[in-house]
Amino acid sequence: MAIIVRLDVMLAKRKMTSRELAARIGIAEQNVSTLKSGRVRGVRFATLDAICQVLDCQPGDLLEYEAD
Amino acid sequence: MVLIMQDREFVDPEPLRILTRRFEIGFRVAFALTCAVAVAMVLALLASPDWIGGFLAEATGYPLEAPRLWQGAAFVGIALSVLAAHAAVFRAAGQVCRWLVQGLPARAAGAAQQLSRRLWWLLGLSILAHTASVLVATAHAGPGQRAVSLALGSSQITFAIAALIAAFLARAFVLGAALWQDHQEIV
Repeated sequence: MAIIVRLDVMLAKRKMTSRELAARIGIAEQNVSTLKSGRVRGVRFATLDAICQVLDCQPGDLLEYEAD
Repeated sequence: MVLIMQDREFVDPEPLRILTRRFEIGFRVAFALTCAVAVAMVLALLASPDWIGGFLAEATGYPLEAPRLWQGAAFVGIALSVLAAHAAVFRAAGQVCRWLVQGLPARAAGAAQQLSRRLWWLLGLSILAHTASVLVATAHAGPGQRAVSLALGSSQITFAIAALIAAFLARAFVLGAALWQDHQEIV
């Protein structure tokens, strides 16, 4: 897919683990891992909103478009 | 800081799950009651064939004062076949609910297809059972007094409608399964 998830980069920048993020936004750690790997069909705005709030970033910092 | 997302805009399937679980219990009870009635009928045939024969003949609409043993046995046989069909329908309906409670709509679709098939079967059997019952009830009568009857009443229409609804449900569950899959793959 042409959309690349940069969540792992943002987590590293904020020195936060997937587990901590999952706990703070209230979703399963497995879902965060799946999101990090980019193997998801979609992301809810609510999830994106919560991640951006916790990581203090913009959606563009988490998602990137790369032409195939 | 913890952001609770579950309480916001997501659909909570729990109330529906609880309701479906109750339906499943209801179908199990109906299945058990049907089996109990079948057992009671067999026991009644063994204990008092005249009474059960007369009772079922009256239910058919052709009351018999003194039904013969073979007539009582035939009535019970016909009634048992109809009860077995009902039991199979209740079981299939319970399966639909069971898979839904477990969050497996694709399997519920398969069970709904089976339920639809069984309802069509029940429809056919109810028509045949009535015809056979009338034949049995009037078999001993003299020439010109024997009857053949074809029942196409409200219960047959109900079975047909139920079967159509079950067939529709099967298709709806297939779509529901795809939507559920989508829902699970969206974080």
